[in-house]
Amino acid sequence: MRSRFLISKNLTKHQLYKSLYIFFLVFTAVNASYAQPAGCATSTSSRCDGWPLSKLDLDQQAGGSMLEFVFDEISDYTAGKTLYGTSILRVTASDTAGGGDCAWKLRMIVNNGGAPTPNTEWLQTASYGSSGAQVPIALLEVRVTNNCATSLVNGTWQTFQLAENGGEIVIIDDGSFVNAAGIGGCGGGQTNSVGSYLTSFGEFAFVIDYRVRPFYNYTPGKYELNIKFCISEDL
Amino acid sequence: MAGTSTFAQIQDEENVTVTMELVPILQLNMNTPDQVNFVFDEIAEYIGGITQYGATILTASSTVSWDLFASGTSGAHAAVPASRFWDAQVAYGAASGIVDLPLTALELHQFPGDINNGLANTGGDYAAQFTANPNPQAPTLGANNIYVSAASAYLAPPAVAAANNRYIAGGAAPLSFVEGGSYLTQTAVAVNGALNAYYFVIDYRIVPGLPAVFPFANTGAASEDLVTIGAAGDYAQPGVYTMNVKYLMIENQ
Repeated sequence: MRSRFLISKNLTKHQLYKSLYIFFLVFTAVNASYAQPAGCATSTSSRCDGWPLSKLDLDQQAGGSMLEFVFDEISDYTAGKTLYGTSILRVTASDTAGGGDCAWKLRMIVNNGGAPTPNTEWLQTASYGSSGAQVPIALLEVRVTNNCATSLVNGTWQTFQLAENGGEIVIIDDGSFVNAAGIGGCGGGQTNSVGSYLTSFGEFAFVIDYRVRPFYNYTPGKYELNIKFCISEDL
Repeated sequence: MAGTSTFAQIQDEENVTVTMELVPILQLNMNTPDQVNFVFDEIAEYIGGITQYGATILTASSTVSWDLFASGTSGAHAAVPASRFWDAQVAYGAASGIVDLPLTALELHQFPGDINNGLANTGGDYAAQFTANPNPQAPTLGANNIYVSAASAYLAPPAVAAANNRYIAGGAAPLSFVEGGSYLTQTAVAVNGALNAYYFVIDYRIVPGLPAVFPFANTGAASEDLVTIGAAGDYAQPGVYTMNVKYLMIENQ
């Protein structure tokens, strides 16, 4: 990356070298690679309206934006725990330009905060013991449903592909093809066009269930994961 | 920087934090009476001893790797670890016998045996069959005497890989353990030598002998019968004695 900057004629030689040195350090720091938490990618196309005309709303049924699984009985470990409908995603997609080419994509990304947490494990926030294995991200299962079954993964329990930091579950993606919403009902396919949960809840709202079935032999403690729901024009 | 035009685009994000708390759970249940009585009121019982089969049944559930051992103790032993004797409650008749009866007079037999997911515990377990009664009676080093902690409280697990430092399942080293699991999900009783088991049947035997010197009491290395640790002619004072067997399930360490 090249950059131009104005050199003042009034700078002494020493000050000039100092300025260059500082710039070099900053430049180097920007380009250094750090272990980053996983996040949503930025759209590269612009076919739809931006926020707030187009947006994603998350409705958490209980506990705010924090879901809690507590395993303190043997039966919990064996049977697992399921939180039904704890998150509801509501999509609004707008295209005031009326080009008819607005198509959006929706996905979930799991994030464990990055290093030093190993890539495939939950972030451990407290330890209650030393024996056992670390908890893998693959332990968390997610199910996405809506009335029109618009998602290809509708109704089936999923783990993140890949089960590691940055792994994702694609809820809606049909490339650049626009699957129009239905009129008075389901449009069929992966609805990803303009529309709103207000007028077509079955196509623009997604109910999220979460499940964990730990069984035995994991290290006791408290663990945490972040799930990002991303809506964008490109994946 | 050159000016650039910006275009609107759909881009939004919502976040959920998922937390999970795994609480360590170790559960040991005893589904049989917590009092086991041995009443020696016939000569044959003194000579042949009394065996109580299946007197204790243990079921285990754990979310972490674990070890299981039995620890023989009494009030006297809990107070002074060197006092490895039953508690004398009542004395019958003239006080001419020995009241310090060794805790190791109690023998255990377990099924299944050799339950260990890792290195074998060199202190052994209680899987051996009860040693046959020799005739004539003689001090006998058996393989079933209950573990009695030597220099610390009864809660201390058998740490030294030596005879009588027995575990029922798992072992002393971190590499000797039973995996977390539960009898609830066991589909069959484990066989001898299985890696994991969560259901155990315990038999007890006491052989007083005639005279009542408890010839099978031993530390694994040396006999603890009343004549060996006392003097010729010693015998057990008739009466009522009690001891406590503690079954301890601990996280593997």
